[in-house]
Amino acid sequence: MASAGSGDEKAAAAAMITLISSDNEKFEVTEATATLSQTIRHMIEDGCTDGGVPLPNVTSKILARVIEYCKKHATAAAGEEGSSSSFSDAAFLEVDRAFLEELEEFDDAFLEVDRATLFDLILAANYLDIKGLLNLTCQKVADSVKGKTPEQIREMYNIVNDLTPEEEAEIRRETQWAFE
Amino acid sequence: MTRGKANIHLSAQAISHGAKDRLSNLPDDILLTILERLDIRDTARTSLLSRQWRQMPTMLNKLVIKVSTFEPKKDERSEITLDDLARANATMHEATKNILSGRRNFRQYPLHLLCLEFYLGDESNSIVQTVGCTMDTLMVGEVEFTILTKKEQAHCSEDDVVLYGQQLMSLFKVCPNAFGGLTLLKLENVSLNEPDLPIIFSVCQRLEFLRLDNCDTGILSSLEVEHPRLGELEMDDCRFDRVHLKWLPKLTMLTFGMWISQQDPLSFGYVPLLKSLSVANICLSYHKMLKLSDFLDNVTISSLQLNFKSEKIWVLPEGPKELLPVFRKLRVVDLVNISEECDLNWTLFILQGAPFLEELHITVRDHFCEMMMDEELRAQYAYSKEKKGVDWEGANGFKHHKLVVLKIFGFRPEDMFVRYVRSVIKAAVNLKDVFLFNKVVCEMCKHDVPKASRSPWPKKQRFSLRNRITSGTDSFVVIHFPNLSSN
Repeated sequence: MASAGSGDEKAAAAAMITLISSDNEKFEVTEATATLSQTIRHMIEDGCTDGGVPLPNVTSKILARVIEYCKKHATAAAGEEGSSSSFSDAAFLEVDRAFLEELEEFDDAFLEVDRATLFDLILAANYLDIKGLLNLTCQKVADSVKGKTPEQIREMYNIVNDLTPEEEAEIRRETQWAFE
Repeated sequence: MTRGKANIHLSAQAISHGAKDRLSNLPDDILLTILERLDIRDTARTSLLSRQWRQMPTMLNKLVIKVSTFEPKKDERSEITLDDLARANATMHEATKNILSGRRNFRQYPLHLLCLEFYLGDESNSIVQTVGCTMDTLMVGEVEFTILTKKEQAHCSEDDVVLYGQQLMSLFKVCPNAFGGLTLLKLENVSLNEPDLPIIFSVCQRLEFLRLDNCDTGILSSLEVEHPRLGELEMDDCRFDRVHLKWLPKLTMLTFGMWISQQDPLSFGYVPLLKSLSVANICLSYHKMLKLSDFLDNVTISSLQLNFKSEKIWVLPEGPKELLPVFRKLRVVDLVNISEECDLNWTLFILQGAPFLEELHITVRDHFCEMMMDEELRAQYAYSKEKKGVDWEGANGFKHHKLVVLKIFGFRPEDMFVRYVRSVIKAAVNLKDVFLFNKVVCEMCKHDVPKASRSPWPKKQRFSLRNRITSGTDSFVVIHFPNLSSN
């Protein structure tokens, strides 16, 4: 696990960055992979990545997953040939679609995690400022509450209802349209 | 209050089971990112979760309220009645009123975007009035209206579009200040009186984006467009004789699809920033061939898209002398849905006429899903019986120094295509990459197109194609065969 970048053919030629998890595990990744994180990109730009980048908020378990995501999406970004057009014509959208299908499959599989891991990934994506991963994980949470009643959502996420019955009745009255 | 106690007891129970509320403990901005992904009904329902969640919707800086959220869920769109849509529109008004009135008590949170989609009808007046009141008291960055008609275009009679036109204009009279704040407006299926569109342009002073679908001011009327801020204009299926873009100092993108006029459908006045132009038409027997040197006189576009909808080519090949003045800034050309029966040789006139062109994209495709196939109907709608291609006897041996990329979608390993790519390679001495994609299919026609013509090229075939294309040329061009689809 520590040599997360070893499968990457271009790794030898590319600059490598060492990421250090909160439990002190080291991960070596290419710059292209690491810079999906805006936080790390800024550190590289400021030249403060020598000796590794400590990430005290991210455990090795979560960091390994985050790197897995970044590697896939960095390769995707590099291989995105033939899909640039100033117009959103159907033909080009279809090209993009075919190309994105595979990525979507990866993302779907990636999100097959328990809820605790999902929240860890959200926090890591937020801290590392990886927009794609943050959107992906937030979408997963959003999808899980779609069409659910407040009671179902509370139960799903252990949310404690601290509204008084009067307050609850008032909100229900105001948002009657959302329950029809 | 006893219920409140019961709730706290529940919480103690939850904690004793070791279950934490990690969702509510996320930072506010992440919770808002999650809420942004819900439709307005689901968002409203979360306000019942707890005190913390009650406040969240008022902090959203984007509000999108669409009538479709309130439509009954039925398998077929045709099962939804006009009454269903009116009810959905009324509920949409309730929602808008409630959400926006809640907003007024929390003005510390800026509202960057208010995006509403609703149907024209009696209920739409109150929706627009509600928005008008909000804009008097709240600062809203961008306000967007998509105004739909309850009947779709295919089901609209002449009377329907006239009625919709009247309803739209009464909406403008009810609450001009709501329209005065709009940054985006999309309209469909309205037939207006001649002075109405100019009224709309003058009321919607902040407008940056306008889309008109099947809108007109009577068949074959003409339209002059003047607007100080409009940056993007899209018109599709609008039956004007001529649209004159008289004064649009901010316009950068224009999309213009389908016309019934026998003359040039568009003319350009003061549009100094216009960069991208996309034009689509089905060339019927009465249509005039478009002469680009005349048509584009007065604009300096850098990106041009022409969509032929798998029918007859409707641009007239011209020589470089005529074209250079209008093509001198052109960098990207995209020729879409050229019929599969056309030879591509004619497209070289564009290359020759645009010496600074960097990218040429071509899609060859008979798109059956969109084409009129029935012979009787084709005759009835005046589809051209002529051959679809055009001939071009351009100067042989011209050189092009700027083109770096050629992309062909729907490439087939036939002589006609090979010959064409060879011609481009011979002319474009600095060409770096050629991308040859196989056939483009949409979800609908996917199953009707033979798999072989949309599968990846076998290695052997790629090798032989590369040979056929480059042999005898001394070009260093790289030929790519990217995969369109894995299925």
